[in-house]
Amino acid sequence: MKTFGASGRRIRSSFSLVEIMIVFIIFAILAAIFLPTLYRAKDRAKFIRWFAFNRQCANDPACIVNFNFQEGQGNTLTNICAGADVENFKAYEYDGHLMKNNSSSTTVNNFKWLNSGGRWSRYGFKKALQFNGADTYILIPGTQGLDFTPMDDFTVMCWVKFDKMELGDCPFSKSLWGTAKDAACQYDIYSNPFKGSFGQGTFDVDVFTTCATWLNTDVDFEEKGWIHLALRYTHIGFDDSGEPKGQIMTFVNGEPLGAYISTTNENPNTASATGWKACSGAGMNVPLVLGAAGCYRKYWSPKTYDKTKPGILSNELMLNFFFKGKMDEFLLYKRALPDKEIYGHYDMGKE
Amino acid sequence: MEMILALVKNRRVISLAILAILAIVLGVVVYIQYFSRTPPPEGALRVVKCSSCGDQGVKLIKDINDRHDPRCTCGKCGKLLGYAFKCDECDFEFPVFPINKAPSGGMSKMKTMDTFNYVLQMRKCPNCGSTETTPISVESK
Repeated sequence: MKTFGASGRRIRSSFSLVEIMIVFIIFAILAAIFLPTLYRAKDRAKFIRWFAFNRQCANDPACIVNFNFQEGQGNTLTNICAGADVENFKAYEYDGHLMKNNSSSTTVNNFKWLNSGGRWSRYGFKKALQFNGADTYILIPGTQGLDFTPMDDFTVMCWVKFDKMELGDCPFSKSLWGTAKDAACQYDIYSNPFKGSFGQGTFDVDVFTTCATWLNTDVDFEEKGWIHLALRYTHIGFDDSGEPKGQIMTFVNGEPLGAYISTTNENPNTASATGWKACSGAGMNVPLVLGAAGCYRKYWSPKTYDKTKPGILSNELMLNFFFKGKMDEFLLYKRALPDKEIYGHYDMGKE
Repeated sequence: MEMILALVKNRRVISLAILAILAIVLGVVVYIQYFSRTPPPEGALRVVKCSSCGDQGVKLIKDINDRHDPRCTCGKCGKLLGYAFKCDECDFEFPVFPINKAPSGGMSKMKTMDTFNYVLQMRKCPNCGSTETTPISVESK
């Protein structure tokens, strides 16, 4: 539209298409410059919120192990728990030690600390540890506060990212697998990616003498990125014979996995761990291990087993079924966290 | 010269010139912000061994697959690669493929011990049958 001013000079009262495009492009340039910065700021805010929350969790007297992977370097993961309600608790006894295969005392250089490999990687300050799926694991030597009976409650949580999810890969375990009569298991979790008529497709867990799998999901965990895993055991009473009964539940990203199926209990409707008699054969002083499953050397590597030599760490424990991926947080509570609290941990830690 | 001056005075030409310059600036900014920095490849490395020619190399775990994808196959003969394992009994080196199928009877009711035994059987030495085998470390290569 064209109008004329007082002097008779032509005045344009609208913009041409080219001018409008210039304005759009200027906005686009500004957006291209500032959006990454805004995203980084958002990630940074999330990281700081999680970090504050994690530090707060460390003050919970029920929290025995808290590895945030920010505090720790070299061959040690620092347990930041301030003062767990465990007799003679010393947090450093529950530090994580980066180890190499076959439970040798030598620390390793094939572990990989990723200084910006954790969640919120755009922000770039969340550390993570890369497990190579071949010979790397973390050993927590303190056992007193981590030994549970079927009459205790506990919750174990971690953030992991799978490079590849293969059958048997174990993010954490406190077990010594040998034979049915000569094994020790308190708790572990391992991947079972095969979908079948009997559930699977996610994770199987062992708690005391119960092996459990889950009826659910079609989630592709390798593609999903960082996932929050939680294993919870709740003591719910005693059965008729006086054996303690408990309920096991596994959560992925804050949501409970579907229906529970026990592979050691013929009745799939009972989510009960019935005692730990079968676990007592090898003694229960098995350390907690991240990134592998504990195996009884006597059965899995008889060639290197010395029956005259005592000691879980030096002789009996060997590691197998290594985890392939990254981990950037691990927490263990000696109480059963309610569903909402587990979801809260996921919510605070999600990207 | 007059022609240039005439062009400069032409509002439309100036606008088009500014538009072109800004479009180039936008392209450069977008490239620098989003495409110039390719993130480093993620994941751990493992020693791999070719199922056919026996050639060994190092690959990212996520690229060790049963797919006939150039990233996942042997650079020499194009056959599938598996994790390189070594037998502790006879020192024989062999490839172990990622377990991509359940046992013939299915996974139903497999207890942990059965599952672990199944995995171990997949890794047994094809030369002597021993199950005492270990992955070959990346540092040794």
